Amino acid sequence: MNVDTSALEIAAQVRAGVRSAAAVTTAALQRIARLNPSIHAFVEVWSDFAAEQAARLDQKIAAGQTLGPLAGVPIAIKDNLCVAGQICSCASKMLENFRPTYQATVIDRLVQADAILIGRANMDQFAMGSATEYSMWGPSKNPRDLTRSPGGSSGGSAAAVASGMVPLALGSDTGGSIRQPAAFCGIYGLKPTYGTVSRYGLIAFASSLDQVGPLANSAADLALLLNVIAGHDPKDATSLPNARRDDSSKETSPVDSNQAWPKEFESHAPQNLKGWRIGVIDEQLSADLHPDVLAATQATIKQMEQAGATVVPVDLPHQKYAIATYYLVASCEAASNLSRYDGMHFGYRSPLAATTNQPHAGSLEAVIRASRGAGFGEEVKRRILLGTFALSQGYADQFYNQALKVRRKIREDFDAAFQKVDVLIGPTTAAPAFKIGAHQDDPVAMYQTDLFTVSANLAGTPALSLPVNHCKANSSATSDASPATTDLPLAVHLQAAPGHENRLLQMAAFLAR
Amino acid sequence: MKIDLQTVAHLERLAYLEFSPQQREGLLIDLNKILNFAAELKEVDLTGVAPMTHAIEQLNVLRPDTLPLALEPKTQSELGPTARDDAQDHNRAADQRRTLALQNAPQHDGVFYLVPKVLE
Repeated sequence: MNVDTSALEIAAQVRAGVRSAAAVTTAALQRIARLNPSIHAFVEVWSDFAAEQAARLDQKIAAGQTLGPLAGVPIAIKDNLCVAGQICSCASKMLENFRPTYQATVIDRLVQADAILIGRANMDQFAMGSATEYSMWGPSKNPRDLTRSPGGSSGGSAAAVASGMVPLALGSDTGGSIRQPAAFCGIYGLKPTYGTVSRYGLIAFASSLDQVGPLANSAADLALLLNVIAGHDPKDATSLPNARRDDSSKETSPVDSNQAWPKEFESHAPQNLKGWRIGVIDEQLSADLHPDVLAATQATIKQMEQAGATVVPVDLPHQKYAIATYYLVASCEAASNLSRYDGMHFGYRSPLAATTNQPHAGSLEAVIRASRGAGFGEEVKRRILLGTFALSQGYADQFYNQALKVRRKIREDFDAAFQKVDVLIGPTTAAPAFKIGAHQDDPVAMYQTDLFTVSANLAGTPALSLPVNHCKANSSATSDASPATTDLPLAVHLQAAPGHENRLLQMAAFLAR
Repeated sequence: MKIDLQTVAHLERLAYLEFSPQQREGLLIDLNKILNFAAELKEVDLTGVAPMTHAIEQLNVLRPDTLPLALEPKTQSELGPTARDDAQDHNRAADQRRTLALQNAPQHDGVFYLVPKVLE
């Protein structure tokens, strides 16, 4: 069976009239029908809706109209992005039947680009989690090993792309939720600079950290999708006003309104890496890394050096506080954002509240409590409680404000580093994909898996995860403790200064050659 | 720093959540684990450091003072052939917006949201 793994290729075929949008869509739907029962990447497949979109596009083609850059490309949509008229559940009972009456700006842009929206991808409830296990729809499986997690929270998006069901997916990344699943599934994932992509219509988790981004099988497809979704949106006050400016200067300055932004995202692989300064975070390589991950990262650094790059050791002294800082900031923002779910205007309302024999049974307050109690999953409630605590009187200074100050130090570390280097390299995760259920009983252990990814969200910087398989054939690098991991995807994490997505895309394209 | 069951119950009230006694015990353990872990932030010297609330610290995002409709009414043609005069169109559009707004309400009577009794 023909597997459509390249969005660029599909769009070219559809534009050239070699294949119809209907044929491409049917092929994708057939692959999904065959693979989704075992992988569970999609929680809903929009078969009819997708066929309608394809038919409309084919009419457009027949009429000789100009086609968009994603002509006929099937794309998976994370279940926290609003598509008008379709359910958007955030994988939570709270929004199980929620049908948005408005549409996310990124979806508008996909439609304008002639993409085919194919279905809702599974995720951790409200994007809180690192394994797609906290989903009311049940976990997704890693296509490379069905006993393992595809990562999270955009696990469904990553699994859909990695299994070849669709060539592209949208995810959201609050602390690594695009990059970690991309790493676990062996594909490419990019978290853009904060403010590059509109958050309008993305169901909020932590507003100062959330960013929508692409998942794909190549750097070129990441760039293709990013070009479609990026840009200023008046509906999102945090959307950068200058989201597409000239990137001719290689100067790096801390983010401010004078930042240079790329006009066009592109992934042309450079001939060699002469003139590129690569920052290696020594601390990340001495952390408790899985031997294969360490070997893959070191091999990639060597590859860069051999191509002419200058490798510079970089110190990020506050990186070790990133996880604690992140979980405080994210939980506080979540506690605030999720206060809107009261079971009154939309979302789940408990039918039991009226009949409980608790005090104030049937009162407004009792119904809200019962609705939130039953509508939210365990991890969501844990974070709401943590955030409520860290924001409460007497503790806000000690926890929330303290975390915000450390956040600035983390950002300043990056600003200093990007004065010296163009790209930072390290592992995306400390180990390859873990077994499903591995961290079920220990939230802190689960939080630790985000160690290398959360800083980019705190600082607002762009970051990309790409697969590298240097150790695949090298069984000696695998310890006895984990003999089964040799065939699992390994990934490296590239980070750049705000606005410098192109450096990441170009480097990723270079490394893939 | 260690919190107790009373604190968990207090937070439960503040956050409008509802837990069983068993869940409260579990959350107490989890929260203490997380807070214990978060306590490491205290060792950082933060004298003179301003809190960073946002990744992009830009101020005063301005836009024209127009009234955008979040719930888009249908186009004139979709309003039907009889909808000719402006007042009638306006009412129909308003009706459609209301229908959309109430579409996700757990309970409504077609005009208002229905909520539990607020006043005794």
